[in-house]
Amino acid sequence: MPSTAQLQLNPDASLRHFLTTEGLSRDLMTQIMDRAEQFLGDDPRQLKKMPLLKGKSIVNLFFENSTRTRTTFEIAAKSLSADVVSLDISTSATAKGESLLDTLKNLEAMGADLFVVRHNQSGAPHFIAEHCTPNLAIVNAGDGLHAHPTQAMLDMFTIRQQKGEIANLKVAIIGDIRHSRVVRSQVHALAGLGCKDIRLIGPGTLLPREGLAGSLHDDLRSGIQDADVVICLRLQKERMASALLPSEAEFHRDFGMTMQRLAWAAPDAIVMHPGPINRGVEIDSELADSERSVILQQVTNGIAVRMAVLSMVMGVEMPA
Amino acid sequence: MSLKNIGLVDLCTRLGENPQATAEAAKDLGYDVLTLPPYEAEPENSPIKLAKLGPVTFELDGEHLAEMSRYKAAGVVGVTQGHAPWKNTRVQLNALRYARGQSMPVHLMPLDAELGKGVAHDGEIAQRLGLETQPSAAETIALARDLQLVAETGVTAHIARLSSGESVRLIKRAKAEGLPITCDVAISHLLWDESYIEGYNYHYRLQPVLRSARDRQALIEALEEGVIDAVCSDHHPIAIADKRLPFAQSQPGAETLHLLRSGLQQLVDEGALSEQRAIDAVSRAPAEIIGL
Repeated sequence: MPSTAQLQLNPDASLRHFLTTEGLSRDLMTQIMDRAEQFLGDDPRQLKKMPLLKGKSIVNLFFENSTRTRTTFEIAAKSLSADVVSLDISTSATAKGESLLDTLKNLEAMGADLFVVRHNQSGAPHFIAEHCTPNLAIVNAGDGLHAHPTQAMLDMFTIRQQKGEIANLKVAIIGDIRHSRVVRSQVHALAGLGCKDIRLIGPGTLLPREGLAGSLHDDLRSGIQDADVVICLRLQKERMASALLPSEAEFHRDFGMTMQRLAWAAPDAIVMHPGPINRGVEIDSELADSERSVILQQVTNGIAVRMAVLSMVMGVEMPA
Repeated sequence: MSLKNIGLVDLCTRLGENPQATAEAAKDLGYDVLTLPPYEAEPENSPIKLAKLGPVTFELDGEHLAEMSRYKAAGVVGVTQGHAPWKNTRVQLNALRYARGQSMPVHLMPLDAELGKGVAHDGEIAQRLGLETQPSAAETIALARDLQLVAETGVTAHIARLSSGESVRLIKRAKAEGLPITCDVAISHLLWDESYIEGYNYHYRLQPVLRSARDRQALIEALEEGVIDAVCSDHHPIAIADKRLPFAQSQPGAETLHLLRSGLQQLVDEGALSEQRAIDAVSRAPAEIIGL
């Protein structure tokens, strides 16, 4: 079977679906970011609306709840004048996959052009992309522990906006590396953009054994030493229930980012977070609300990047 | 006799929704005997000899002993818990002790209940695909416990479906110490490794999981050395509705009846395995394990 990286490309190497940042060429990633920049324009408060997807229908298919991601996809689709329907489908109703395929076939029959899919199973968007009709495009809005490629691209876009060329930066990512789809996508994107110094930081239970580009660190101070970009991940409450961590307080004590600890990183380091933040756990309020934090820029950029991805998988050129 | 025309004795075959058709297919493929796990539906008119395993605990509940004397009278060739979990080690100790008293061989499939929930080998590919991992320790922890209990009880034990090089080492040591054990590997684990699950290929979702290329190599070598006694098809037909699913939700198992002979032949042709060992592993050795 084709890998996810192969499945998402057309024969001419343009985007057919958007499922993962793994194996994505630097050229394609740059195209996504350049296009996002055009949507963003000069005033980030005033995203440029363009009717590029007029007459197209986009279905947000959320098997896992996420108001935030769903909303940004809705805004992105509407800013491109697409017709948007959002469906929250509880996973229990489709625990059996034949009904996942049935759901898919039904929605296809209603004439959708693009599905934005969020699912708690790794590989579910891959599965849907494999079994859907040829005229339907799939955009992955997060699948299990596997990938969250639009989040990673908005992070790359934000880093490029703040720091310029990504290849020469030192990027540190802190938190639940092992169970994070965001990290997997960030690491593939960073590596694809030529970044050579990626540090993955967390307690032993939350680090992978192998398989991700980047060095592993179980010590915060040495991990973020001289880093240009520090990315904090959201700590999921489930991690305490499954004996991976003793408490949020202990995580904060060893790995929580504060203004003082940011001094260990490069003098002009920025702090990022995919949101929503747990204040006082992975990051404290003073730092999150400071001028060193670009967390709110990430949210705005997220809409522009999603507009770029949606228009690209629909094969629409930007007006000159 | 050559591998091409030897009659095959299989240590584990599931017949699926159409037992008659599977049994007939097996006959056409040159099988002489199929061993069915507990509670497997049987064909109405089997064209082929069937051997049966009974449950070692009541309905495989892992908690209460099965009526092994009655199963023995009904002609089962051994008892097993399959991959169903034991409630605790005390129950397992008692079950093996009771089986020994019944002179009943026990087929053990070592897999730690919790670690065994992982769906892919704990390697680079599972990390990349974001799949819950099943480290080799899922097997070796249970295997070490099984071997201790076999030594403790003196029961005749067959260790079924090994998947890792680490397990081979444990078996080798136990055999050297004179423990009354035999073991097998599924043909799938001799032919495939973790790289086959790329692209979330649910056809290769198996239990135990496919491990590294190094593990596969260790299993082949152990078979050649005689540390592993037998190879089975571990054939498992699964309805498409339960198989064609996102990887972790797909029911583990594969249809491998046709691969037992051809897969071993491939290994022989590649020079990885001697024909004599291949023949023995699918005829004399399994026949002896099920007491034919």
